Amino acid sequence: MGLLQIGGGPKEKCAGRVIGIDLGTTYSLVATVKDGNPLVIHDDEGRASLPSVVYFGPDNQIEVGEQARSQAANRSGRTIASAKRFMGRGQQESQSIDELSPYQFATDNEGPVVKFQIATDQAVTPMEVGAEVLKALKLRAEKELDGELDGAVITVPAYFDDAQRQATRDAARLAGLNVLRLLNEPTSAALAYGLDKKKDGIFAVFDMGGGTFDISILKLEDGVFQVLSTGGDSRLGGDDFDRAIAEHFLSESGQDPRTTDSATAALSLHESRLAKERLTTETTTTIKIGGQEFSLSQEQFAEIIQPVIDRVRGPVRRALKDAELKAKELDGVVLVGGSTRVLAVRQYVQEVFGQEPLADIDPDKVVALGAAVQADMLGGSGPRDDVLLLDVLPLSLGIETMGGVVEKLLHRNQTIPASAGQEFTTYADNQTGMDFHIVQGERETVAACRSLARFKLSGIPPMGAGMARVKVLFNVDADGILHVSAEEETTNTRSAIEVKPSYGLDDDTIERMILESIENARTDVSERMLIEKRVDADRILLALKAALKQDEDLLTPDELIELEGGIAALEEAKRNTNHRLIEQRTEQLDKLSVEFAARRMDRSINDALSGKQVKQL
Amino acid sequence: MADCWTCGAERGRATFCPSCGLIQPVVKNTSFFDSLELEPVMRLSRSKLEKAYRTQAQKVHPDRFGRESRMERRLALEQTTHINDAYQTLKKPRRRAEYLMKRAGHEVGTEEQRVKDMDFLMEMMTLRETLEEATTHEQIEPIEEQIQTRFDNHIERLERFFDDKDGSEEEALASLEQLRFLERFLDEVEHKFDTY
Repeated sequence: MGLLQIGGGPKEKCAGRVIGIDLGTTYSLVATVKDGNPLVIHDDEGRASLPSVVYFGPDNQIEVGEQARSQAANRSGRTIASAKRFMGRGQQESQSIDELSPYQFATDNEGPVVKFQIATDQAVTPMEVGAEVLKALKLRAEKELDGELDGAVITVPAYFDDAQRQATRDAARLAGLNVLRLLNEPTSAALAYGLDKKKDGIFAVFDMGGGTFDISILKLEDGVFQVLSTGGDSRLGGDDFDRAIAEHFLSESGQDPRTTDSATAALSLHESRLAKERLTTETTTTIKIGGQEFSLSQEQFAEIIQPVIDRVRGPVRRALKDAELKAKELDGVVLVGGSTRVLAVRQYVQEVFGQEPLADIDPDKVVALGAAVQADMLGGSGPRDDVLLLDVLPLSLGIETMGGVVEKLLHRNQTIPASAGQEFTTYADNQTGMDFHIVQGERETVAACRSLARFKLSGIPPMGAGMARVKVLFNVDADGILHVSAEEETTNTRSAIEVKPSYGLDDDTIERMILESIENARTDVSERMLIEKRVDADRILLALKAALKQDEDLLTPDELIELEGGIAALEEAKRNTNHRLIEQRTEQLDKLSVEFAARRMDRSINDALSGKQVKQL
Repeated sequence: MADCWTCGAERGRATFCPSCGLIQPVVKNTSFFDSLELEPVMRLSRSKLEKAYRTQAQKVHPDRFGRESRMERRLALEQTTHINDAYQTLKKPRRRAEYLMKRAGHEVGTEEQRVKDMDFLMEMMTLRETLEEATTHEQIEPIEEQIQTRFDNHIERLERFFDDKDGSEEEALASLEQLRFLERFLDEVEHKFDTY
């Protein structure tokens, strides 16, 4: 076992100087436990929170925090805020995240990871931005604790998928931090509350930060803090309120938000954020956008952001359902994150849960405090028989099967660590390799889920088709990170698996970044990309051709022509050396075949209903 | 049965060596009920299961072994994964029944077994059509209720079969197959709720 680890290496033993870090979208904090009490560590000027903003100047000069933020409007291209929203994201996904965005994204396509283009010859990844924030907090903690750190617990939104968790780990590695645990933010907050109150019960944690929204339901009993369910949206938060306000008033002033230049966009977002903050204490305010001044009342503000608030309904309903609970059965609702200061959000929470939410621990600090408590339990001097945390897998993990359908192996809200095994066999004589595609999400088709990793299993001993029995084991560790291993059972051959995280940084990349060897072999990269894209193209071509052979009659003549056109276009692109074209056409073909795959599924359901193989439904 | 990996004492299926007290690997084929120190019954309340699970988790969770040797930490992970599997399997009544059936030596969910009851299949087909046409929560809810009632009836039948030895094996196996079907249907209902 453990031949392949998508996750990092074994954790080191440690005891002593440990910290908890809340790596937030807009602000980050660091806390530690002193004499049994968790407390936030301040900077030299007495500030607790560090804006998660990094300025990358010419000559490799880097500024983090308040200074970078206050100058953001003047240096918009070289200043990156909200990098967390892009953690673990691919280049193409990121371009569609924001309509109104102050960022330029690199389109070099050197590797799948999104990059911010900060100058014509310089681009940085979200992990590098995150690492700078972490370094600043690490320095602050080292000063306070008077020495080198032994480890840190870093919080992530519960709803972060595997790629986003990996990216956060990568950022910590770049910052030189030993990660004791990635802790889910709502769990962390509940931990801070639970220990504070020492009261058994069932709690909901409603966590809305700058860029993410999480809802978790937890039960504290017999000294075990068990997460019953979790849900959320990793791209929903206070930034969306700012964006809604900015877009509203830009339109009012006669500008099209989609074509606004990046300096104006940054300025309008800044103004909107300030207006939003003023409205947590005032009933009305004024806002200056697009050269005009507008007045903004509490009611008008609530109306503008209503569509954003409505997006939390679905996740809340699912979380309650998964926990098999009704809203009124909860003993308390904890508010976390700066965005819960917005009155409209509080009113909504009260309406949904039918009770006054708890907010007696500063919602900005509660996550960092909980993380410090957990760090102390894991690696500090804290008592070892203290509260135990049991967390869950936020999103189902599955594997692609024929026709682009997902077979789920581990289900969302399953307690971690968890494992699942699945047996596969060969389809050709003397086949020695097999391709796997791991996805994460709740939907039935691969196209609708997030691609996590592809790997090739090799070294299967040659034998007849269908003879090999390959057992693939999936293990999710306590950080929520996936590890995969495989074994051919008839001969007990353990096979080597090579995994490529779809949107992560591979080890080599991290090494390269750590060593700051900026020079990289351009051709190597594009050659590798070309090979990868050709393999991807082959996979879909093969699968689709086989499916057409079997179920061609499910398509109208026009649809068939369209699909065959897509196949021809991809085959033509494959002969070329332009990997971007191959990728583009693979995606087009993938989209074209979604409906076909759905009909094939319907057919297999119908077959089953006529008395065949219910199991394969 | 096995010997302790460190002191060599006979330890059976015990999670901790009775002689030296160190954590042990999971012995192959250890029953989920045994792992949680529970009686192998179908009527298992959620609170009883959770209590048993929490008690075991307290003892074996990797967080309790942060300062122990690498081997012990690995074994803690193995034991915890096992009890998490146990909890996950026994939590839902359908899976619990399936597990009891498997432990009793029956093949469950193989391709030879299928829902043979044509009336049931026709009814399901009709319900599926109704579900497809539903566009509001108010329309979806009665369908969900109907399916849920059928589901609960089968569970009760299985409780009588396993715990009271009431009913035939064939009936119990048929119930299990229909339950798989009904559960999938409930998933679809859930998905539909998300869409509207």
